[in-house]
Amino acid sequence: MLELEGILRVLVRHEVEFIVVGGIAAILQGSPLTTDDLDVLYVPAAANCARLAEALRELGSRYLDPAGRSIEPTEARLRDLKVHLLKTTLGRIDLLSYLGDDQVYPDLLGRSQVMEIEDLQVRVLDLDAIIETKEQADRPKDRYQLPFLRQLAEELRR
Amino acid sequence: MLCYSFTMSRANHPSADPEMDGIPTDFEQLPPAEHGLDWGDILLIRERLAMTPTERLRAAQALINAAARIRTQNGRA
Repeated sequence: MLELEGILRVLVRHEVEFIVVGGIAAILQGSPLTTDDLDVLYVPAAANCARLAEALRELGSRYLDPAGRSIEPTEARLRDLKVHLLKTTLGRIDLLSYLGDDQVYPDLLGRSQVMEIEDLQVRVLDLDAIIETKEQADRPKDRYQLPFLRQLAEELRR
Repeated sequence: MLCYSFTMSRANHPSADPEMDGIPTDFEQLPPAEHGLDWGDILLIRERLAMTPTERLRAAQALINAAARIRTQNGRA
């Protein structure tokens, strides 16, 4: 089961630089749709990868492996590989070093906002940027979410 | 012969209850909005917009918890 606040709390405590993207970002922006994992865009710089690796160790993270092996995300893997689909003791987390059309953290920093969740300050992708990434991904699950996100954007403009 | 005390039809039968005036009770009374959503979906969005981010996260967490509990109870964990 996904414990959203618990995962965010560990990432914030380890001072990981990240932006919440995907379904949870949409929920935080007001979407009524739900999801079973947390998608996070992270900075693949060495220092941030070291902090992220520590946080993931605390969360007991392992890669989702079709062969069923138990493989840990290390600082080197976080630095060198692009996308990490992980299971943790608090639920599924997908770590991404880029989004859509090769957009990385600095590209999306100005299209995100800091939200207060309990006592945490968490950076979350803007609704327009979420819509753009869903349009670019264009998978059936993205196409399903788009009417809700576009209506949400319209409600916010009123 | 089986007898039913309710009407076996997909047609909506207008209620004589005046309190129900203006409340949609059939699909044809839920016209799609601009993005293909219906009135109920738009209300859901407005409810979420009235919440703080913390409340939105809690609402999503409550749904995830409930779904997980039901899956476990039904052997689908």
